[in-house]
Amino acid sequence: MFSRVKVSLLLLIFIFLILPGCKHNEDIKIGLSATLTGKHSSLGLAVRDGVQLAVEEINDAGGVKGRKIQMLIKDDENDPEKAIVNDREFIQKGAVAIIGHVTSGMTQAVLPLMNENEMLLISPTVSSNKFSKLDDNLICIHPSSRLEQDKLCDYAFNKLGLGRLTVIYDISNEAFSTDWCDYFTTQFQELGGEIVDRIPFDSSNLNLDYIERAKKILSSNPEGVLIVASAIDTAMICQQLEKQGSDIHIISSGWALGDTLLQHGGPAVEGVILPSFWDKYSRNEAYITFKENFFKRYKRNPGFAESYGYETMMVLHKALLKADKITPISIKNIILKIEEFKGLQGKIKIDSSGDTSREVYLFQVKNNQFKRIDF
Amino acid sequence: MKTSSSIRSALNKSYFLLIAVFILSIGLLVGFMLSRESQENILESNMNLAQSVGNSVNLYLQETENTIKMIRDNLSGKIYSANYNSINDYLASVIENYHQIHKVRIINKNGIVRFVYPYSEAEIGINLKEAPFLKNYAGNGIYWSDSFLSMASGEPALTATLPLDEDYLVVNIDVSKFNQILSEMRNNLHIVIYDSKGTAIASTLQKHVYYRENHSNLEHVKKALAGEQVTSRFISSVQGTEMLGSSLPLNNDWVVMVSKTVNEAYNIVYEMVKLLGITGLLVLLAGYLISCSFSQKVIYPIENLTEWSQEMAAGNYSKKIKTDTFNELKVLTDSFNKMANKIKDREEKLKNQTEELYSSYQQLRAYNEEITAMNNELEKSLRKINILNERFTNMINLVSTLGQPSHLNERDFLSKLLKTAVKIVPEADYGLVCLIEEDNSCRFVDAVGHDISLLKNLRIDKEVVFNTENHGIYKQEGTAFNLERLPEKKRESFLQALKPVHESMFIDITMDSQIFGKIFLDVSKESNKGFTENTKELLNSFASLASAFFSYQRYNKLQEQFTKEFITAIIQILEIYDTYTSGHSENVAKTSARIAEEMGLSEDEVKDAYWAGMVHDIGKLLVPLSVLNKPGVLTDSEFDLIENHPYWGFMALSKSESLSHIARYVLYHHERWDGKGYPERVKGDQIPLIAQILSVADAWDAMTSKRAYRDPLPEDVALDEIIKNKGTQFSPRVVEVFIRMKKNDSLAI
Repeated sequence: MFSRVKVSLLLLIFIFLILPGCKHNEDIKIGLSATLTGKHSSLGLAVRDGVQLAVEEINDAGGVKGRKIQMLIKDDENDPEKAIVNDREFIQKGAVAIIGHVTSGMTQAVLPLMNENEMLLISPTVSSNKFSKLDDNLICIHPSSRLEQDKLCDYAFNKLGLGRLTVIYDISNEAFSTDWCDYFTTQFQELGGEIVDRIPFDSSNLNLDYIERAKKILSSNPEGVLIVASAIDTAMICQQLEKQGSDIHIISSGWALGDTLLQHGGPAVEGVILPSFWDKYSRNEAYITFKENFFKRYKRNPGFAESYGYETMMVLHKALLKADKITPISIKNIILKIEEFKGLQGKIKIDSSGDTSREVYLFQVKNNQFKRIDF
Repeated sequence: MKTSSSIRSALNKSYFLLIAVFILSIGLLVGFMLSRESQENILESNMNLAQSVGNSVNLYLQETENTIKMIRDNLSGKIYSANYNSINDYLASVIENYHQIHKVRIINKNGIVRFVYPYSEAEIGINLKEAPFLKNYAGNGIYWSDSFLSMASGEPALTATLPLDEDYLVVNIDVSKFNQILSEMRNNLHIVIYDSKGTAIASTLQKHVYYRENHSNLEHVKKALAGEQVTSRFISSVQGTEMLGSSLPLNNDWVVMVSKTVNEAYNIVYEMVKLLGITGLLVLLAGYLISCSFSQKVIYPIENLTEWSQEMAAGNYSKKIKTDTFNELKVLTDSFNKMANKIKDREEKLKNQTEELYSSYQQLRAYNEEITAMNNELEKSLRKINILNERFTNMINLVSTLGQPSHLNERDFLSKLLKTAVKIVPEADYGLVCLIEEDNSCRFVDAVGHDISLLKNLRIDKEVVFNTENHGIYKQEGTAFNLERLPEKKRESFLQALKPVHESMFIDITMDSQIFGKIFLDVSKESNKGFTENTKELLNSFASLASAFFSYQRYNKLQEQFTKEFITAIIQILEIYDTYTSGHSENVAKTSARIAEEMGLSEDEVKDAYWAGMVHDIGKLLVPLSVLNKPGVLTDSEFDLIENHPYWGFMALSKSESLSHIARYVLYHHERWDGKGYPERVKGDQIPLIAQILSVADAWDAMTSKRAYRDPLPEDVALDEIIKNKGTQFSPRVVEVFIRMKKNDSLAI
């Protein structure tokens, strides 16, 4: 009797000693590197909120086969060197994937590091054509902007009948904006249109003179202007054009799509046309649920970056569930093998080089809202 | 109850338990009450801390609000009349004193920016009616917007909106100033201020603010956003440790949260518990020592008693122990002393009694030995009787075989006789039996111990081996054979076959005073036994038995010979009578006997088959010659006469004592397997086996013998005929054996 008690005590002690040694329920680490502070932080913060909501939902529902997802969040400060330092730290800490970055510039900077260390980089927002058709360790949840550009170009020339366009673009995100303008220009000229002026500007300059830019746009007397800039810059440029009494057509890139454009543009952004893969008013059931949950969590409505951040985590989650061995390369291969994901607003197709295709829509601001144009 | 436990340890334990239970319960009670009280205190103090932080923030907000109102009052009525320079100067002085204010705008009801400080041409005239700080303004009082990132600084900021005459005054406030307030307060505390959406706008941890983290999912922040004051534990997302946090709403729907790690918060409790634990241990130790000394006092006299009782157990009764202790123990000790005296007296008495008992025991033992000896003798006699009894039984068995001499040939009988003799004669180790042939040579029949397989092949003249004078029964030292008379070659194999012998005894088997053979019994060279007169008598009786057997055997042979000759004579009469069947009976007899032999029947049955064959047609003697030898077709009545001959044969034979058992075979020798024969029309195995054999043998000889009126059939044709009628006329089993027999015959040829 007495010895049995002793034995069971010993067993208990043994079990307690052994238990901490078992690492079955170790968290799955995923890095998130984006610009989270400063003037350009809005996109990164938006993505962060979307990803965070997804992670909270996944962990609340029991995680990945019982393992929780742990987010490692770092601010790349929109600085390529800082971005590399961040990602290297993620790799050292044993992250199985890195979500980011949110701009093409940062992504371009860290890509060699990713390929060298066989780390999976999955970007929610990067859309530059520079990365498409490459067999690298980058998977883009946002499609290449080519589709947007083609659609907008077609609409501007054929539907709006714009023959002369001025292009103004923000070189603070050059990897994106320069490519955007270049391709658009080529397409527009091919159709028979004319680009009468190209005006680069740097939004990171605190003393930026928007009035000067507006005057410059109007100086070449164009029929319309293409603004490739963030929502706030686009709003400011529109405000100045309005002040100048201009009524030329304003078209813009999907970068400007967001509530900020409406809030800061007010009447000045009425009529602005821009393409986007994301529809704020989508009636898709998944999107409506997401929107409700998002509002419950953050007391505001999600934008495209929030949505794409959320979708990115969901794509990763699906791959994690299917993976036998959780390594960056196996996750990447599984994502490429699955090919088609159920997104918030429709199917997301990811091809073998990690590029995504989605349906593209055109929107126009009417009564301070984005209205979809069927074209 | 464990035998190893002592009263001392039991006492120690119970004293100790008493003290321990008492101290522990008091300690636990005190500890519990103290920790409960201090836990409540901790929660309360944390909330107090949060409240004091909240008050400072409220105060600061109030001050900011007052400043904004002051600006509003100062600017009222001046905006469209006074020159901007004086307004700018005024605002510059305000901002210098109130760092949190960094931008002031006047916007008209249509959302057009009319004035901005610091001046920015680009901002003047733009339409901000959709901006949240105007759109969400309810129309009176101050509206605090949610925090946002300032376009200019990238720092979190917010705006305050309030009416100014017909326009709106919008003041931008740098939220980062709150961080300074918090950093002044920090004291190992973690403080966060959230806006009405749960986004961190100030924090002792810069990261919360700069990353614009939204903590509305934390339970206590959520409750505070809904207007409650809460204190609860939560897991920090930053440190990953458990925190104790108090949240409460501020005047403008913001929330302030103060937290510390649980370890830190409950440090006092932990310290207290630690102290209590140590004190408890010390007291327990003291309790243990006290319990030891207590038990020592009780135990000492008991141990004394125990020691004495041990000595008493060892036989020492002379010791006396002192009696100055507890009353109960005193009584016990006195009784012990008395008891020791009594035991001493009794022991002496016992000693005397034991001695007496010992002498009686010795006497009894002597009787017992006598009885045992007698018993052994009795057992010996019983064993002797048993041996004799066994010999007697063996003898009876041997004699009983004489009753059926026809079942035992002479060799088997002699073997059995020899084995029984070796078994019965206790001195004999080996034995040998031989017969004297007609040519006076000696043939060895069987041996016990000696190698009979070698001896069997030795033929030795009896004169050479035995001394002719040595008739009757003899005992001789060494072997009984005259080996010197043997040729050298035979001697060698003889010696090889015979085991070395120390003494031999042999006797003749005689009949009509003629020697038939000899029985030898030998004693092994290694044995020290010898033959006695008793052995001689036994051997003599064996020799008599053998002689009796041979006489009986000869008588039997003579009788058989006589029967055979007599029957042959009768058969010859039959053959004279039935001219066609000359030699037939003997042929059938021989064939039947062969078939019976081939079928593995016993010697008697083979003999019966032979005799049945000889006499099977004897009934024909009663069939008139005219019918028997009629050359033409027979009438029905003539057929009846012929078909009756088995029956007549049966009738005649059943009268003879020695042939009556074969009468049945004769009766049925014309029956068919399928029941279509005569005279009884029995079928299958109702027909006796020997009758079935006779039927085949009869048919075979009828077909293959030369007859006066026809030539014999060739053997293969006859055999085909037999096979054709297998299962109809003939027994299948007999036919199969017959075919096999014939095949073997042809092979032999």
